[in-house]
Amino acid sequence: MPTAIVIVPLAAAVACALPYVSRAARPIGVIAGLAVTVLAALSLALNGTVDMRTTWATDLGAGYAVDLDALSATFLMLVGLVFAIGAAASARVASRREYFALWDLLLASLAGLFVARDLLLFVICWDACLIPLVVVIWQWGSGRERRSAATRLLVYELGGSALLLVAILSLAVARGTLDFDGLAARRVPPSGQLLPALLALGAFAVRLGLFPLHGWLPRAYAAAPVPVAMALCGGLAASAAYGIVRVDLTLFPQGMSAAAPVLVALAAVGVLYGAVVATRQDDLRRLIAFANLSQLNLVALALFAATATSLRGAVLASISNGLVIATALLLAAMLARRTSSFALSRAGGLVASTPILAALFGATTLAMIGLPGTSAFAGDVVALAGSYERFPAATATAALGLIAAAAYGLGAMRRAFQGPPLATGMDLRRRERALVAPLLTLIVLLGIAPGLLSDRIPDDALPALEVGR
Amino acid sequence: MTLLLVVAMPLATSLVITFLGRRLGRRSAGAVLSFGLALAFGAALAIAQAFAAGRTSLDAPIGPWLPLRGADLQLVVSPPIVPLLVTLSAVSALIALAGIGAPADDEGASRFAGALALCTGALLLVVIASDLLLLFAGWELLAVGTYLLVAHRHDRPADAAAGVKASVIARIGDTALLVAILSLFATYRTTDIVEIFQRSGGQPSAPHGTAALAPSLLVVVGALARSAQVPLHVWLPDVTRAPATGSALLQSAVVASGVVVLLRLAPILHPDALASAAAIGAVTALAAAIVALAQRERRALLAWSTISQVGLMFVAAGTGAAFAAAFLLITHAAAKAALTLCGEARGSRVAAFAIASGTLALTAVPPAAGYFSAAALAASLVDRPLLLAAVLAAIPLTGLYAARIPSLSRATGADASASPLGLVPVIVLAVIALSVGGLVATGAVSLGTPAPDVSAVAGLACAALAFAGLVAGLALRARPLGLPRRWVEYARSGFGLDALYRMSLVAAFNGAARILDAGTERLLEEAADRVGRLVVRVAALVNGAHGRYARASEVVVLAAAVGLVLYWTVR
Repeated sequence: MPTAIVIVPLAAAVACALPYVSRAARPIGVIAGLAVTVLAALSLALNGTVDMRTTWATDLGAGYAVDLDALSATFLMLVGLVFAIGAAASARVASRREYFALWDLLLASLAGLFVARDLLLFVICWDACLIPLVVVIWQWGSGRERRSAATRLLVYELGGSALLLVAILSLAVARGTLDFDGLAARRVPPSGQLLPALLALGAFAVRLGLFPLHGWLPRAYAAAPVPVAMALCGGLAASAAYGIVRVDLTLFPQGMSAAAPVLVALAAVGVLYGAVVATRQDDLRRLIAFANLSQLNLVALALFAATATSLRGAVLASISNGLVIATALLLAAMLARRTSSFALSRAGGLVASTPILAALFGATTLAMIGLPGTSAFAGDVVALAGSYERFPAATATAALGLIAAAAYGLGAMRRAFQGPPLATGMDLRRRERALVAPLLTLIVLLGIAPGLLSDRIPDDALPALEVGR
Repeated sequence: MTLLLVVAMPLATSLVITFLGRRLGRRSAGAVLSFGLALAFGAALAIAQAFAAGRTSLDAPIGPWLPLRGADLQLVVSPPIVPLLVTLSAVSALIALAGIGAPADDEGASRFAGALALCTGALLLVVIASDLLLLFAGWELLAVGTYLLVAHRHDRPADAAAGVKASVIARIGDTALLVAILSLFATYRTTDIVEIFQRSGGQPSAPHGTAALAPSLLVVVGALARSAQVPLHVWLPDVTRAPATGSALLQSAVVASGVVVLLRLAPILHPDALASAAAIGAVTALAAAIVALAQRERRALLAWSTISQVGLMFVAAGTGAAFAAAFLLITHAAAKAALTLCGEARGSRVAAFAIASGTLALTAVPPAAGYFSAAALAASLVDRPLLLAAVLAAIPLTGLYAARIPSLSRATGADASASPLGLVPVIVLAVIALSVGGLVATGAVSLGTPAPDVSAVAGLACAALAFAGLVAGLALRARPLGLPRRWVEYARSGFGLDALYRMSLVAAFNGAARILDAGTERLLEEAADRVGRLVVRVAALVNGAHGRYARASEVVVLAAAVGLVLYWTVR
């Protein structure tokens, strides 16, 4: 099953590239995403992790090792869903063949990243994500900034993964194996963990958007086609959170613990920073990007605090954030289709002509600012409660971001939907509603019963630090 | 099960109305709303009956919620909470009923009804949630409902801005409460209120000393924000922008949420924090009464009177006078709902009756309810002279401004007069406002907590002060007092606090946001670009060097590899 979850999107990518099949590229993309979700859900339900190992580059100790455990499966369910809906939302793209081939390739590399149990395989998949992503933003992005946004994304990410590569090479030299389990069994001695932990974190922190390494993030969100921006938050950001759990916290726990005070402080600043800057944005995509940044830094805060509760919260918050931001971006695109612009200053008074869009957008905004009853609250509050045990001051600072969140969230709603009607448009069509409905349903469902997800993740899947208490 | 109904009915009603949307006409939306809230009230009555029959506690576990200990979906009711539950559900149901007949703009009527139901459900959740996070959830939903009510008229930009302001202030309070919850969770490893009480040994101050003060103070800050107390009261005068029914619900029921939380959490709060809440309440009661006195519009006067009255409830809740707090809350809810609902009605006799009885109920003139609640408060403050003095000063002030209510002008552009159907619930509210005091004082209605003994002196003093205030107000209402106009206008603007906040806090936040957005964000991007350009330049240099020193790049790579191997072996 872990191999199948990579093969399916890969096959979809090939199919999309074929001349005749490519007419059905969009359905194929949707099916590939759904297949990933279903396969992941199946493996989660069956609770059977079929892992597979073969040696490959024996000199490095690298091999082909894959596994689909609860943590990977949970994240993959999110990724598959976001990709399915993203593909369905890519209605009008030029050169569909290439676009969807790259789209499925991106999904395949993400799936590989989540099932890899070998560091080299992990890094290959990690970097393989970049190629389709950058090409898609470069070619299909919007605005004059798309080229520079793509370049920045590439340079930032490559800089980060270069550091990760150094950490991995040094591990290979020191331990003679790159298998996760092998490495976890023979960890680097505690005194030497700090450097490799930080090197590996270089890649994860950049992709997650840890303050102040987020320079690529707002531009990429604003320049990418909306489905790709959804993939950025639902796939890429989730993969970074996953990477921190799977690689950094599992292999270098003491190193991460030593660096935690500084990292936690950065993340707490990032939470506030993202929320405050979001209040000044006029471009709806940039506003969502900064809201996303704030949330992702909260995830980072909980990951760095690394208590059992905070890690659970971080996983929940990361998945919830993927869902919520993807929904927000989707609705932003629908809004922009009606006002011909992502600028909030061009919208206004839309509640009169598009009440359903207003209601859905309102619900999503409330989820974005962490209203109880939505998955965002469940994730955030568990993450905060867990982090507070170890870092009360930083966590309390991060909680202040909630105030700014109310300002940007309700401010956006006010500017887009209230006031004198500047723009009018048709309300949401049935097809558009069908795209948003599953995401919103899931957000509310996970907000009321987060146990559906949280109970699936056993305690030993989360590499919590032992905190003396 | 009945307990679940109390909260679930209003929330379900809100969902139904929202989903049906425009398909529901204005009247049918109002009918569905009234029906749902009436059911909730019925459930609350059933609970009250069970308690009257001798039950001492009732809890309803519904299911697990968050993966934190104690954070389950569970509701609980104890005897002191029952009267609050009944009052708040009754007042909301009556307001909803009045809303059917009340004139409103057709457009968005279902949105409005949904928001009313949401507010009620969330408020009742705050009253009976058994764990802190569920209580917090109720609070946040309440904030959303408040936003929807205040910003209801979407074509008025000022209303929307007021809605955002109210929500941001609510969020300030919520964040304070959330941090308090986090801290309590870190200390007691649970968010269940009863469990925290048990684990703290019933005395939060004893084991942790001043460390327990911080979370308690944060809870108080949250309550201040939600109950519009100084210095976080600036959102309340704006709720008058909501349509009359919304304004009535916000001012009579929703604003009490902070008091409810203080009453519910008092056993686990530090005594010093409670004392500070009482002090702030006293200051608020006096200051807001003076501001109310300076108002020229009935709606604005009522809003400031709400702030002042809730201040008295804070005094009661902060000094542990649960009976007086609940009593004040009940009296004020009924009186303010009646007053706000007919605040806009013209000349009808019924409206005049409602206004007169509401006015009487606000002041402590016997036999209206206000007298009994004020006397109960004064009686429980006998050993706190400062607070007692403040309360005794607030009573004649209340009389002074209340005397002006009937004669004040209505706001311009007010709604047209209410229909007869809408007046029935108003009469009910007015009758409750007049009579509930006697019922409670004679023991016909129990509030679940022991009543303090009201000495004859205290009762007489209250009555005399209130009477003096009322008479003086009636005598002076048509006469200019000869105060400098600047003072009066200063007081009318709420001592300029709103403008002060706008110029200081809001401007500072916006400035900081602008600096971060335009400055730091650009700086970060530029820094990254610089690094990028540097790398390109170095690459070009290396490339140039490559031609001359053929194997330079290989040497660099080799050196790096050797360095790494050395690092791992030597370390």
